[in-house]
Amino acid sequence: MALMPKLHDRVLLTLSCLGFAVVFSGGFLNHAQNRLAKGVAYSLFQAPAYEAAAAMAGLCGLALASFVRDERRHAFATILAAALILWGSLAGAGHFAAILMQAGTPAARTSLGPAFWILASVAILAIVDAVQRGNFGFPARACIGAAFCAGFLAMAAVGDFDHLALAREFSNIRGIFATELWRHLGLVGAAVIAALMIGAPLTVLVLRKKAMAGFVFASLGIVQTIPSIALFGVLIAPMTKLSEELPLLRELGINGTGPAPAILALTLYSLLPLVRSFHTGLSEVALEVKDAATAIGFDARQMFIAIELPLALPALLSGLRVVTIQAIGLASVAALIGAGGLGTFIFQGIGQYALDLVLMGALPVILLALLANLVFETLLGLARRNL
Amino acid sequence: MIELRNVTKNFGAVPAVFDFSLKIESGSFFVLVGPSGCGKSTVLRMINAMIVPDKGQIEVHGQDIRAIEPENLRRGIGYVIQSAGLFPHWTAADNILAVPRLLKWSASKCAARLDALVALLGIDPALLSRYPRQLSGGQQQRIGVARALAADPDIVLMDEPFAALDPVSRAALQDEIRAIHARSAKTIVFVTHDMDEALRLATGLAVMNNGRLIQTGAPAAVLRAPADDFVRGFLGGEDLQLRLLDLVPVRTLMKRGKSNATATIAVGASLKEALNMMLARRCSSLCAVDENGARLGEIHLNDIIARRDAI
Repeated sequence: MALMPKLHDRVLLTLSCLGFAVVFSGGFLNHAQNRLAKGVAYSLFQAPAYEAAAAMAGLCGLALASFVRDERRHAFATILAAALILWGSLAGAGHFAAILMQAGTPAARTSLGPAFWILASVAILAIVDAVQRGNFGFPARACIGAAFCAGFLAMAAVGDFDHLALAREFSNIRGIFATELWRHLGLVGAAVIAALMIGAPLTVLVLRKKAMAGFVFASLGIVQTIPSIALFGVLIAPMTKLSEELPLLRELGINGTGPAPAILALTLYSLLPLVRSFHTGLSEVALEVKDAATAIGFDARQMFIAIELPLALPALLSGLRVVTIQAIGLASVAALIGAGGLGTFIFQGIGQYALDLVLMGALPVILLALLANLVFETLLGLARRNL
Repeated sequence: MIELRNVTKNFGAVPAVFDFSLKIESGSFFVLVGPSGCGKSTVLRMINAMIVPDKGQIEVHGQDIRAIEPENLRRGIGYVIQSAGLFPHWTAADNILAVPRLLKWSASKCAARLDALVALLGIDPALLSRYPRQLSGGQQQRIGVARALAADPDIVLMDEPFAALDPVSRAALQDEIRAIHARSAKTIVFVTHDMDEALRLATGLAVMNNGRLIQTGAPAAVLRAPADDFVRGFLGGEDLQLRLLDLVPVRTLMKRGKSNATATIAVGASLKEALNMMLARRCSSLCAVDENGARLGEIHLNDIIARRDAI
């Protein structure tokens, strides 16, 4: 029995098994003569030997790490193995694509296949899990994150990814990528700020006049049920009309299409989760605490600033987090009514049947959402520290 | 001085306090007792304008409280509630200094006051930087009392402040609040449903039932002559005689002189404690001693039985 090591981390073993399964069954790269042609799938084992071996070694390491008992060692072993998988897959894909593209025409495309995406996901999930289980502090987490970002950027700078279809699509849109990214962030920022400016007084109204709560939540709930594409579309007609009637709006550049209706729609979607979480947060401040504050002489304003706001802060931040992440995703749809943003690439990609172009829109949206989540998690941690 | 004149308060159709009149002298330790829901907390909360009466008048220091800004009135009246009601996001020190900071005291004055309160209530200075959730119930309530006393108010209102504490913490805090009251000229209005607590602390007592004042007076006077069966029942019915003994120290009944008794009791102990000691030692007389152990005299069982009516 002593020879049978005891399994310590089931999740990790499952992840590595998934990695093995996909390496043996799925396509690692897909090489096609052009965007539209059906391509040929290549497996990891056909990729350059060192890189493929590194990825395989990483998978084996991950499986072994799931038996390490000591949490700290377990975390380090997992991060090391996952790094091997990630860098092996990235370098393997990049270098393999370069070889495949030498033989092909300039119109040829080498796209990343399911095996690559799943391997990369396995590696990232393993790292995230290890960081959480290892109970690393914020500086350690930031260092690990920065190391991976730096490695990725270094490989991109050296040109390791240049022959992959994603990089080709990126170089095509390089000029407008930053513009659309900023436009996307602008839409999200404007909508969240507008939602805050409307939501905060609305919350006060609902808290003061209990009878209004039902009506307000019902109205906002109805908005929430309208499909996003429909709401964007529905706003075109009235906004166009308004813009025709009011020259002032026209001069401000507000009309039926473009950013104005997009921001309006995003704001409307943000109101319900925002007001609901603000309302819950503020009404859940313990009654005895408010009672004590009144009894020792806090007036309404002092009570709000010194007691209610800090105690409700975690709930307020959670609400803002939900709203921000939701707006980052929904803003992609705004491209349909000419508001721009990262959705532009998604819809262009769909129109041209260029899946890698779709990814150029979708991946940054996912990354933005994850980043927003990280920022709010950190703020929430700070806000909860003393509660 | 606090005076309530013909005060009535209804919550919706439910009468909470009805035609209630009471005078609380400055410097007294005034305890409002009564069963749960009798309106005693409502009376307390009307004194600092947390609840506004439907009818009647309330005066604090001779001034109608309707003429004072509620916030200013409350900053001059300490307030302690059962669960302490500490602000969970503030340290113990910040909680204690809540009112002085509302009153915009200088930092040095606040620091000096904090030191004084820590000494007064025997708070471990190490607790000051902790948050309420890191404190035990007794420690929290000690901080709660310190917060009520922070701005040195003339009047302190206490709403069943020690009801949720364990007996040891409760007794310690009762002793401390009694000592603080004895040393200062503060008026304390204290609400409780615990008769033993009321008798231990009160210099003045008011018994309430169903929103009305049933009887008021010094604790011994109320015990000796309960106004009706409700008061008699609430004061402990069969135990009433024992409770009376609890109010009288051995010193008042002892015979000065030599004593042959082997068992001793402090002259400051109550007659109830003396009786208890006699039962425990199976003897009928005890030697009364002072705090230095000097034998001052003797107390006999017959004295307690024969003289209790003179109490």
